[in-house]
Amino acid sequence: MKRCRFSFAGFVLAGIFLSIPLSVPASEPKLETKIAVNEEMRFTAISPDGKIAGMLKGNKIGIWSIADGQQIQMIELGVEQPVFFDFLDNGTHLLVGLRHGKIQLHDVQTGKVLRSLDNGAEPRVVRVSKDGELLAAAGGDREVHLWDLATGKLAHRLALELGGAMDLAFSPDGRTLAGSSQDTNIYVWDTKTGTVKNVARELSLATFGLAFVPDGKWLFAGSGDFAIHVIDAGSGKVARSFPAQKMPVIALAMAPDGKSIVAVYRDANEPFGNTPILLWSTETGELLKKNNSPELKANGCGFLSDGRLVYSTMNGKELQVWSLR
Amino acid sequence: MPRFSLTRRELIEKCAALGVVVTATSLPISAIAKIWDDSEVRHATPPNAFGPFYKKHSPQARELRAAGDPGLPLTVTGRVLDTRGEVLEDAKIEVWHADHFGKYDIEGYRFRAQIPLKGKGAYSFDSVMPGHYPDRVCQHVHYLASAPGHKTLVTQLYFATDPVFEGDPDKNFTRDPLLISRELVRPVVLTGDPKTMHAEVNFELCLERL
Repeated sequence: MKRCRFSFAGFVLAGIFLSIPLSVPASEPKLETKIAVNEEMRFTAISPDGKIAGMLKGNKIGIWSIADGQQIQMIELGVEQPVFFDFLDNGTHLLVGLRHGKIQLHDVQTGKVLRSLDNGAEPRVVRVSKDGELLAAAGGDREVHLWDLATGKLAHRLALELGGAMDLAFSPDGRTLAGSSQDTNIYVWDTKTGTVKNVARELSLATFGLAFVPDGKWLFAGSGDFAIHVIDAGSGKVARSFPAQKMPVIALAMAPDGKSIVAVYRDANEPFGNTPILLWSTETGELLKKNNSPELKANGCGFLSDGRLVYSTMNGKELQVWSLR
Repeated sequence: MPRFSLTRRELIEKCAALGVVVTATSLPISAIAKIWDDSEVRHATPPNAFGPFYKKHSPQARELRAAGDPGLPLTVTGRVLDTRGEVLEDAKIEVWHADHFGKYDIEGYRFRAQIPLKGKGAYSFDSVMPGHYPDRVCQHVHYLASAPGHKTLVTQLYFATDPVFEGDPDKNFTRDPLLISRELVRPVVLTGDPKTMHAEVNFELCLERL
């Protein structure tokens, strides 16, 4: 699943504000499955094929089959506390970032660690390029580490000016990496040389979610200023902005075909508040679907490889996976 | 106006070159300069997390508190120095914090300001004691301080009176996983009677030279 990353934390632009009527009726969510788990888990990931779900709490990650609700694996990390996890390779592997700096690749079926990188800094955000050759990791310090996965060596240390990274996104061809910083800038690097191609400095608040369109020309930035901004990846300039909502955008995910993008919103001052989910057309800026139920508290959201938009919620000790049609 | 500024080392070396300083020992000038440097070294203010709530273009102001704002009135004073104790008159300070209820102003610039220095590196601002942000443990004020020729400092100010510390910040400051240095927890002086109580905090910023 092209998963929205949920963060604890989460202006007016010179761009064109599209005058989109926001009277799109709320879309009907469909409950796809329910999985009984033995405790309330805070963060969730769903594999790109939609077949398995992973849940994180404390120092363990549980993996369940969505089809029959059976637990496949419980990965206990001992004293190591995971700060990031996501599925890779259609769900056969699990990527885990640990607070003390290690990044591990686990086999989902056996739970065994297949590979480990010593990132040094806490890897709160980890992204792998589409071709699987590069891995980017960042945390609270002012650096993004870019790893060459073929050699297992650190290829580049990419500097941020003031704050830590909020999100990272590779362009689909892997040649470009974008990183949003707490200092509100969005940095665009050349992954081969490690040099800065440009820096988008127009946004006044931090960007919580980043996503490229399939051709890599446009970078979508979900901002703390309640809007999604479309940035020219070649210049770093904001070309247009979608209508601001009532809450910051805390996560973004691009549909596999690049035609739509889903944004999750949440009041920055209410980390446990409701999370409206809005689906936007990337081409026209039209609002396509929305679920703004006051009760909605999603802990994962994104697209499956077949294009379905799903999100997950916890209902006590039960994980519920919903689709938005 | 460009500032005429010599480091202590440069000063001692120039004096030596002009014959103003005569070494009575066998120590070279560089060693004497180093001894002088080391004898007055100040500890750089520990950095702390930048956080996700910084907002660009905050206004210049010393009064962050408006009439009727709920919360304990707070005055923060301090100076900006470098690690040799030299005042940084051309420093810039920016602060931002949550309101009394622990909420950050995302849409506007309440409790966000660039603080103009008063001269001799001194600064002060009036605000309210920040509340507890729901996903953070301690009350805090974010700082961004910079000066030409110095490393930009990103840090946070914490308050010894924070209920989280239960009166013992030495023992309990680690309750906030982001609070990595006891030094950032500052004493709070409470003045006035219960109806007019006011908190005063001194927070000196010490920047490292590049």
